[in-house]
Amino acid sequence: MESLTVGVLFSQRGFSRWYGSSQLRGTILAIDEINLNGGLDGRMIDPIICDPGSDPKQYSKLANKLLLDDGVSVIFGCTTSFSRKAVTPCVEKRNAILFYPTCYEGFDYSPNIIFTGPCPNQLHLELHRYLCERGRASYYLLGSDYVFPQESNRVIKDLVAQSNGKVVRERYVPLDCADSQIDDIVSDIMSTKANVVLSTVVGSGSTRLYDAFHERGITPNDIVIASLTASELDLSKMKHLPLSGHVTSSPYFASIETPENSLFCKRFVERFGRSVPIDTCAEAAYSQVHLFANAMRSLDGMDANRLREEIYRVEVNAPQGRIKVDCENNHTYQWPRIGVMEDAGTFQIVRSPSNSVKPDPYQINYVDVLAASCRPAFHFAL
Amino acid sequence: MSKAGEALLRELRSLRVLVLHPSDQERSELVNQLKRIGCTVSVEWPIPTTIDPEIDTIFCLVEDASIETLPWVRPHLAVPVVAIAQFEHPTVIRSLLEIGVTGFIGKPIRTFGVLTALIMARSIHRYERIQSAKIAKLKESLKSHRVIAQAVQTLCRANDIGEGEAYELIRRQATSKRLSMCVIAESIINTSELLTLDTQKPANTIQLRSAK
Repeated sequence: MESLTVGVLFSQRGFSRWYGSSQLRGTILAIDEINLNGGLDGRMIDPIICDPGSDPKQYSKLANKLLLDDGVSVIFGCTTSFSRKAVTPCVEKRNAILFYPTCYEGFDYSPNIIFTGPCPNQLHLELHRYLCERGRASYYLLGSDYVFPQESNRVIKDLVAQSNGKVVRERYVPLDCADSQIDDIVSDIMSTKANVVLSTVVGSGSTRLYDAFHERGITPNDIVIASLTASELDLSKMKHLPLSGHVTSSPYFASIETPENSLFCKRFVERFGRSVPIDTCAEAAYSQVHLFANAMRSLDGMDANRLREEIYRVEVNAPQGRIKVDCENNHTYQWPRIGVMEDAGTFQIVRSPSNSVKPDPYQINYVDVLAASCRPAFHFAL
Repeated sequence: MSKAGEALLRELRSLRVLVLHPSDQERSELVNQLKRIGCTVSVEWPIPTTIDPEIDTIFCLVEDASIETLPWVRPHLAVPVVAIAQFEHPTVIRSLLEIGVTGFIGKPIRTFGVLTALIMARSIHRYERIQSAKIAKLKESLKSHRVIAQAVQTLCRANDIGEGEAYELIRRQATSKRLSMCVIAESIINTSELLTLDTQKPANTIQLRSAK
């Protein structure tokens, strides 16, 4: 039987392994689902799965291997901007398409990349609005030391200044930071008047942050941790269930109550078991395979130019809501939500949009955005 | 970040950018990227002899030296220009230097780098404009210092007074007549030259002027 070979490049080793493994699960689940339903008009999707081990050089090497030796023209992959930048020249040179499912800092575009995660106008803005309404105005900015946290904090500082809040400190920890480094930071946080920690710490540092708060009895009422990245994945790795009340901005939470999400969660549990967390990484990776599949149904070959045109035309009923790719910038419409961590280790969704939000990856000036923001578009789900 | 740098970033979405490039796939790529950045974009080809004064920045294909003679290029560029070039031979490079472009992107046009080229071009162009204005002001002030010093000497000799007193005299005159000290100083020197035309010490005057 004819098959469609595609490349899959997510790290199951190294610092991005948590996220990469989740993205891999989402990808596999979608491919299985499509193949069990008879493939794309009889053509099965045949993934070649590579593990670049969070090393940009390996990403580039494996992407070239997939494109040249295996002859694929579509790759699902990359977790960080470093890995995406490593693969960009490879897909541009071969005119292939990379589907990139991670939230990132914006300011990128390539005709050969389809961005299916949120950019700051779909992620940061919503979190700031929520905190503002809760009267949280004294920010401690804490991130892992790489491009996403740095650029995120630039945006947040802009927003905070506009809303008459203030940033008491901005600190970065190494990507593979020790627990003791986080503990020192928590002591430092307590020495300030901050009432919100804006966290873009990823990996084990993130879970340690919540655990340290728990151990010291800091409640979200005193200091709330507001995160752009903490998900069900982080919750599953924490030593203690966090005190309820910490918030995360994300287009997806496993607790979304829609038929599409129920079905997604059911199939996910059937495939990977109940103990494996379902998070935004898995959802985006899952949805982008369906995006590809929907576009491929009307195509007989994998020509990148025709595939791209077809991607602009199709939509997907994703677990987060109906999504489509914006032909102006190759990024995806998203559904920004705010979730509050609960004792049960899940997120209670307290804000959902009534419409998806158009991506604006080159938004540089959030001053105007804040002024023009249209409140009635959002309602409280509480 | 400096206020000036911050302003360069913030103004991006209000910029009107003109792209001078033949209509093709590459031009669409560039125009689309500028739109993604948030600029208002217009296109023209061939290169026009006049530019709408509303335009903030130009991306212009430079193929040969013919561009150097255009009225909006001479004597110096009123707006920042990012050159688009396909060749790196000395004729083109000399042309880029001659025109005074402050940014560059190569062909084939890629989207990556357009934003940085745009900001660099605007930053360098603005810096140069500010520096030129400062230099012109300094030149003016240097000249006026020289003239005032000469007028002070003239007054000293004519009225047998000290330098401080002479300077104060010029200053008071300037204030009361609402003129610059330089203008007053110039008229003192001119008058003095007229009055001493037939006296025996013209050489001394000349010597004084050149000495200062």
